[in-house]
Amino acid sequence: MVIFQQVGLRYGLGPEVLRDVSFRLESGSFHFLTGASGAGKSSLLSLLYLARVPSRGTVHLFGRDVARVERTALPGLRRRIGTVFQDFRLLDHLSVVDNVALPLRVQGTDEHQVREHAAELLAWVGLGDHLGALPPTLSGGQKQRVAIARAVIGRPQLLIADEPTGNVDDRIAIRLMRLFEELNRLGTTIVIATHNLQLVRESRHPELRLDDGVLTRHAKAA
Amino acid sequence: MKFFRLGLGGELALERDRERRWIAAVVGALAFLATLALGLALALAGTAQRWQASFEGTLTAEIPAGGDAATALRVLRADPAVAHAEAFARARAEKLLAPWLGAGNLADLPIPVLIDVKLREGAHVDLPGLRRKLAAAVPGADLDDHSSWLSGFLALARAATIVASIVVAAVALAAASCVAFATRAGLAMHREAVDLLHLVGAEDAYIASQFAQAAMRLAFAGAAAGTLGGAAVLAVAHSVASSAQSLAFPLPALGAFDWAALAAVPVAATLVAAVAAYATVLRNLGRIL
Repeated sequence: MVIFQQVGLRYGLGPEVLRDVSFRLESGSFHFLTGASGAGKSSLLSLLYLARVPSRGTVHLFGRDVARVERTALPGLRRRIGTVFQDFRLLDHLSVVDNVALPLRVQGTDEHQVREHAAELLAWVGLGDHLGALPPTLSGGQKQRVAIARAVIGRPQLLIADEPTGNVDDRIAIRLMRLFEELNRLGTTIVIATHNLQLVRESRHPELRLDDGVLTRHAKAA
Repeated sequence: MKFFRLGLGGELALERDRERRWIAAVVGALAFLATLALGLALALAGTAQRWQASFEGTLTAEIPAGGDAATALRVLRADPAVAHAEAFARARAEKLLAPWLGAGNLADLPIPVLIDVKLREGAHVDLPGLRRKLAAAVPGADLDDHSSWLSGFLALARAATIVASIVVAAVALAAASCVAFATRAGLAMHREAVDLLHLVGAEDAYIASQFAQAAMRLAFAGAAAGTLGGAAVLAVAHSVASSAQSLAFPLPALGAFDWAALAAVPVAATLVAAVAAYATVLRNLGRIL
């Protein structure tokens, strides 16, 4: 599903923030991405959710080299990816339900289905009674859950989450992890970037560790 | 449930941008100018057309004062192409000349006799031949088909139409440039939301259509006001000129079709704004991933 080969990434003329990154994610896998602040986690995720193309090397997503994908085909690829951004990226002027509905609306999905799915998902993340609320009125944890609902509403094949438990207490963090596990059991490939090493240690899923732009893979003992 | 319904500007909520409202004012001023230019050109063209139609199939014979008008009438009526020939009564000629020479000063004036000639429909008249026959029968007599006089006015109407077309094209270009500038500013201002729409799978056209709709609404509001203003000025100008009219020729006026054409100005301005905004967004989005 995801193949990185000798990937390097630099911003402008600056130094490389990712160097010779190579890895492969099988369909239906679950990985943590760890590393200190500034190690390049967000940069690597931005390549995964197609916000950037690599400066060198190749990134294959769903069997296609992203550097060679025509512009008109990008929306189709992005619709197969769900992303939970670290800063949520909710649109403050839209209600919670309209934020969640965004990926379906841009696809032109029937409005009746959009309403049904968005309301179902918000109930699933425990925000069924906040459909009409505006994001600025929500707590950090609630915003996180809205962002997750938006990321999964399009039933993505690849779900990317950047510090999804960073703004919530332990109880909510456990609940969110259960949500991700459930999605993974349904066949979604999951990549979670986190600082929470305890979360990684307690999990059976492998870890991709970034140190100063260099990636190493750490499998868990069975 | 109303919270499902997005605002008219879609997810980007462009209608909230106070900074972009000057589009309406600029497009309104441009529509005002376009309406004036178009209105004047249409009035001149319409008047030229009406005059051309009214002179079509008619000739005017001019018999020098003291000339034999009866002989001239006989010559003219004998031509197979002529359906009707009638001399102007002196009283009518005096009435026509009164505004220029003053009433009561015409009694002793040697006024030429004018003969109004109507041609048969579809008939071909040999104008040089008839002119020669008339001059031979009545020395000094002349025959005028009004073409030399009318050609000057038609040239003026054509020139006015060309000038109006240039003005309208310049106005459309200015409106498109202004909308493109505002759209680029809007794209920069909403960059984060635009990026988000891209990342959730929106096509460039989806984003461009939101900018196009927002530009259309502002342009239509401005252009409608500008066109109404321009039409009001044209109507007032015509009314003032008509009330003060002492001219010997009819004042250019707008017909029903012309007013309908002016009503198309806001529609055209709206389309120009939509196309400019849409194209600007597509061109700019093409530069980012």
